[in-house]
Amino acid sequence: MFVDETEEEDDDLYEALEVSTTAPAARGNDLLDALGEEEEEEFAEEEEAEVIATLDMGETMGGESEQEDTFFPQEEISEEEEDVDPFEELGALRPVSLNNNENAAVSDALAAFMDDEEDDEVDDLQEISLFEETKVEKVESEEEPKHEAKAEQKPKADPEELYRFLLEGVWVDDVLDPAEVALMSRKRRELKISFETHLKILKEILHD
Amino acid sequence: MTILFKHALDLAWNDGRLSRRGAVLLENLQDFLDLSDHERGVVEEKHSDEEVPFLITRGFGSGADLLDHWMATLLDLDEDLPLFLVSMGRSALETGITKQGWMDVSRAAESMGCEFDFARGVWEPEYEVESLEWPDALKPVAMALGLMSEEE
Repeated sequence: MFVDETEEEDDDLYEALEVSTTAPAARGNDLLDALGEEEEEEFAEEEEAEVIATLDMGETMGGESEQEDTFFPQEEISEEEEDVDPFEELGALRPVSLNNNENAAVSDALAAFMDDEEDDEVDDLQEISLFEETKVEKVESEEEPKHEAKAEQKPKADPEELYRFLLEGVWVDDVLDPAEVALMSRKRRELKISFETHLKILKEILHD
Repeated sequence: MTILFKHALDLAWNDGRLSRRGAVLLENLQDFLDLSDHERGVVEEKHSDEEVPFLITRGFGSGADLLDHWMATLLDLDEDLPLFLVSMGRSALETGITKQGWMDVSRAAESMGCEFDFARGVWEPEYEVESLEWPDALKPVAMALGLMSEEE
């Protein structure tokens, strides 16, 4: 039995009948795959044609020169778009990182701060010097009027004139009392005015 | 000074008439007080306008005797006059001395050569002053200083 079966197997009926041995479902899938490949190829060809057309349009509008001006080569841009540095693209400085550049950044910041401090110190010095100058100027400017005022007030600062002023005030209420007399007596001692001078001033006040 | 001469006029016209003797005494007093004619004229004009019209004539100028006595008493004070003026000045200060009172008495004291003494009694509180009862001859001074009223 077995021999006959093997012999029968050697004589392939499918081949003899020129019939495909693959299952109809498998043959359908293969047919579908083959059809899909053809469609993809056609779609890729269409896309490629559109891309070529747009590239041709870009060349006419100068897009090629922009690509040439970029810092990185086109391959890197196309292949490593994620690595594009927007800061470099924009020409701006990178933000200070916290790792390797920290010391430098800190030192820069400290240096800037130190610079500021130095500037502040310089400013302070300048301010002090300016303040002192202005103060000196102010003092000078204040002293000048003081001198002038003193020069003007010298006659007023005269003890006799001061005493005259006080003596005139004593008679304001038209009555002389012991307290006013005591005050004038103390003022005479302070201003070193003699009693004779007091009488002279008193006469001048009362008779004027 | 004027207070003294005014007091002299009141005495001379005491009975409503001014005698020749009284007029001579007034001349003498003017010289004694070193009073100018203008100052005397101001005092006499005021007295003639305000006092004489209201006088009642009672005699023939007997007031000359009163004037002579007063002048004699005033001159007799001599060395005591400064002490009285100092004391009166201090007393006046304690009660309050007016400007006019100071001026009148100061001028009178000046005319009698005692201005400095009277001023010390008023303006030098540290100057010790003996309290004295002033004589009648200094009544015009006391009145000017407000130490007594005219009624007294």
